[in-house]
Amino acid sequence: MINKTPRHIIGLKKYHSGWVAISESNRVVAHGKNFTDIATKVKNKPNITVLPASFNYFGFVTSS
Amino acid sequence: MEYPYFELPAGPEELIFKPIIPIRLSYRKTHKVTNFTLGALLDTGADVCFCDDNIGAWLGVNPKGKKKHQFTAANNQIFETYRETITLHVGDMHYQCPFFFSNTLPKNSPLILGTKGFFDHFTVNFDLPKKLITIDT
Repeated sequence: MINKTPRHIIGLKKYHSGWVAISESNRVVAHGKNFTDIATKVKNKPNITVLPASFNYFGFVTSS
Repeated sequence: MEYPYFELPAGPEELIFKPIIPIRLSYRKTHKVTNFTLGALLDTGADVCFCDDNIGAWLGVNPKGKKKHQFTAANNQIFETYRETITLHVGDMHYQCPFFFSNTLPKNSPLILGTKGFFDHFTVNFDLPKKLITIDT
């Protein structure tokens, strides 16, 4: 059953660049300097979502 | 399909709710598949789907010889992309989706799902008060 509460990521604030891997329980479980790095680190981990790391996700304006 | 919004930092004190959903990508030409999900931003203002070219390189997409397509950002800056068809996996569905690859996408939004390729496949409801995105075919 899907968790309907917003996904607040625990441990994200200490990563300002690169990529992070998020577990099903919304914890950062890996960090990579680039996409290849994070893809290698999470290769055998189940139920992972990969996001770019940032301290500020605000300010996006649509781009097309 | 229902997905909760992501609650992400907007500087040191603030938070912002973003309509990001987990998707997978694969590429028929190389048989490369992401065995993890990637957070993709749902953007009703984007005409097409965009992908950072580092992800494209990982999938094995070769930009050489591909026709350049120009888009205009909100600040009128023109940026160049190349197009390739990638398999987009959303929930239990997957289909061939045209993606436009660029090295100039915003760092925080390396995967953008827009009108052509995403919103033309689904009925999407953004319920921000409930922080829930519903996607129906």
